[in-house]
Amino acid sequence: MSDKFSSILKLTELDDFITPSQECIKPVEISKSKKSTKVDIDKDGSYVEIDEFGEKTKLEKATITLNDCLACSGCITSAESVLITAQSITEFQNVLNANTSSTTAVAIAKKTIVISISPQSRASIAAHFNLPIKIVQRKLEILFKRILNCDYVFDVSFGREFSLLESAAEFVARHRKQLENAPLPMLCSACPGWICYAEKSHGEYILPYISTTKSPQQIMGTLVKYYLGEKFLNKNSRDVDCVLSSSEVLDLLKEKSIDFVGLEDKEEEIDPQQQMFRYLDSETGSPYGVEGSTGGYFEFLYRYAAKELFGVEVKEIEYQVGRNTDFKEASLVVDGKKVMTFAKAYGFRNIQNVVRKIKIGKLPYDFVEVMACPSGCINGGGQIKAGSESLRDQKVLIQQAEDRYNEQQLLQPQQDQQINEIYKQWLNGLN
Amino acid sequence: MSLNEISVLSYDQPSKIWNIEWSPDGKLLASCGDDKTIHIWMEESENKWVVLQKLEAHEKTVRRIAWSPDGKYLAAASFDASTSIWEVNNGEFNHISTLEGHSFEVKSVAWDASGQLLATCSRDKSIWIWQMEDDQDFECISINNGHSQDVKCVRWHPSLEILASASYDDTIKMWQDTDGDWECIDTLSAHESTIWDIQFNASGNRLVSCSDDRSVCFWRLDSTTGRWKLLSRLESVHSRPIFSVDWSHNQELSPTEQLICTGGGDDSIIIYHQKQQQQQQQSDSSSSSSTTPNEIEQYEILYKHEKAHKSDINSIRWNPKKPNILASSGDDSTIKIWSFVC
Repeated sequence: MSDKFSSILKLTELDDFITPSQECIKPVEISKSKKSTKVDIDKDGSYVEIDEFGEKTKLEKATITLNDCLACSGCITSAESVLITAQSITEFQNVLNANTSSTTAVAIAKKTIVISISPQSRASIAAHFNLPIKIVQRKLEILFKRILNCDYVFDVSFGREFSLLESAAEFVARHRKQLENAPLPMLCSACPGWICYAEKSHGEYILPYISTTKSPQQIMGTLVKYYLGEKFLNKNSRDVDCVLSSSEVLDLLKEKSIDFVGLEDKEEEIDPQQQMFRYLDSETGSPYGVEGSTGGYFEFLYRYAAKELFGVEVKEIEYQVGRNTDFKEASLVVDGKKVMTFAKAYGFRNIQNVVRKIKIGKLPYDFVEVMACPSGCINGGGQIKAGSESLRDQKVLIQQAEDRYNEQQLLQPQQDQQINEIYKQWLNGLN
Repeated sequence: MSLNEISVLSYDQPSKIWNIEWSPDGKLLASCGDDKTIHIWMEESENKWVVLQKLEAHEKTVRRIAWSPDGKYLAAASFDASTSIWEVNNGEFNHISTLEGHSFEVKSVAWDASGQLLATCSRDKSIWIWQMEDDQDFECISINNGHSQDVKCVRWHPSLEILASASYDDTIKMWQDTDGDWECIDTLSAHESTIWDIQFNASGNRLVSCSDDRSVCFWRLDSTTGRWKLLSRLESVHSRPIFSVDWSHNQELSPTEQLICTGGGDDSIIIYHQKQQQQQQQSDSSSSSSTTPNEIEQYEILYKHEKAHKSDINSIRWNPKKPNILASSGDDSTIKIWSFVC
């Protein structure tokens, strides 16, 4: 596999579901079944085994270890490796190549390719090339549209705004005890690494605490497909069909001998419909961002809930750093009393404490922004790593990416009229 | 020179006794094994040992145990992937906490010198560091990944916050907190197979390791670089894998009088000492940093006692208070207490 996720996730020689890889030390009892079987993903997203007669059997869940979850979507079973392979650069290029093929028959089946850029990946690429975020945004548009012939380049941040609004509404509803089986603390659901680990290792007792809101990437995929679907897309069951990590984008550049820094970065005319999904300031060309490089869940929900539940307008959030920089908390004090406490818990050591304290009923928070990677998404499993193995170099690069991320123009989701409009329509549509 | 058996402590039910540890005051002995229990032994009358309490909390083998430096807590690492914590109150042991999180068998557990930090290691290749809170609950402060295989043993430096780990990947790693993150600061390679046990000397500038490759290695801390160098490797000292090693930390003995012991699959106990030549140069590493590595520091076998147990010796430990008293445990369901007479 050529995927560029964390090295911990590089699994080899996987050929059968549940069978541990050769290096795997997990003592799973293997029931040797039929000879030539294939693992595939069914329409509903479940994993099925297909035997030599084409008979499908739904596969049971495999348990997963901590290390297997250290980065997004990396998993131990071959069924999930099918999923990972489907996210690779090869898969992406196959679609591109099919589209550029000139035969009429293929042209009919031509797919519309929509690229959604994650703001953390953009920051990672900006830090790598030492370029301003605005310039990187334009160069990425040029890269995908002009060179790679994709149809649209959008911004995941647009989807994130809905995720923030929806999470905030969910939190307030949980706090007011308006939802069934939805206790506090509410745990953030945006990080796939954390969700993967929580579902597979701590399912029953931890899931009720996890927010039911989709991640920004999932929402973006859904929005693109359903909101704009009638105009130019066929409906499809998956929110997002293919994910390229930041470092895979680098590989793509290398493979195609593209000089990224040398790419044009002139602003071009784009129709208004697309402009909305590009989610950037049309005058300055700067992408819109929020406070907080993990998507700003903590900050947005804190301010929203303070106002909604306690009528308090929060200006500065005063954080208290825990025993490590990946654990922070802040409390809202009203009339000398702590009324609400939020925490950020990044990386697996802090996740362990969250899980442990929930289990013994001693987690003193109302909301926890849980992220699997230390330093959060800016240091995600797919982000570009420092050239050397040194932890110090890596930390410097993370800080540079963080700084680039903060070059984005701040905009609160509620401030954007289009978002509000779509959000209303969207919710009405759902209810 | 002789090694005299002074007591034999026998389990009621057959059990491999995987580990024994003396309480810091040297008065109690804790043992654990594949019967899933922890036995706490006390000397009722001279050389007569009885079980004070049998602790049961695990579903599988208890692989190793560790006393906190003040003797108030006992931690036990189990193959059921959890670590249990016991509080000692007026001689009574109460189960106060269970640490979960490792994906597979927990192989070893160790308290640091302050008694605040606890390290556990597992077949899942990771090392976890826990901190005890005021409310006696534990917080995980670090998950160290670095070993490529099963981690067999963890040991803290006797005074510094440095953790040593030994693995099935044939290496020893040193870990230290740098800006809130625990990093591997050194990897020690010399063994050719699994390293089963390690121990620092009392001042913490030497380390001894024993391995499945039947050798014992002595390591020296280079105080200028902070790195560990191999001082000497004693080959084929046992005829089978060496499972346990200890370096005495007895306050009544001078640094060069401290003895090292090993026990292994050949059922024998071996005692080592530092060669007594040119004693004046054997002072602690705190001497001036300009001195070159001491080439003549060597260790040698002082005494070998064969057939100490009927079967594999899994654990061997010096009594922390009584000079030259040691205990050993084996697959033969017994613990033996020995007196070494020079």
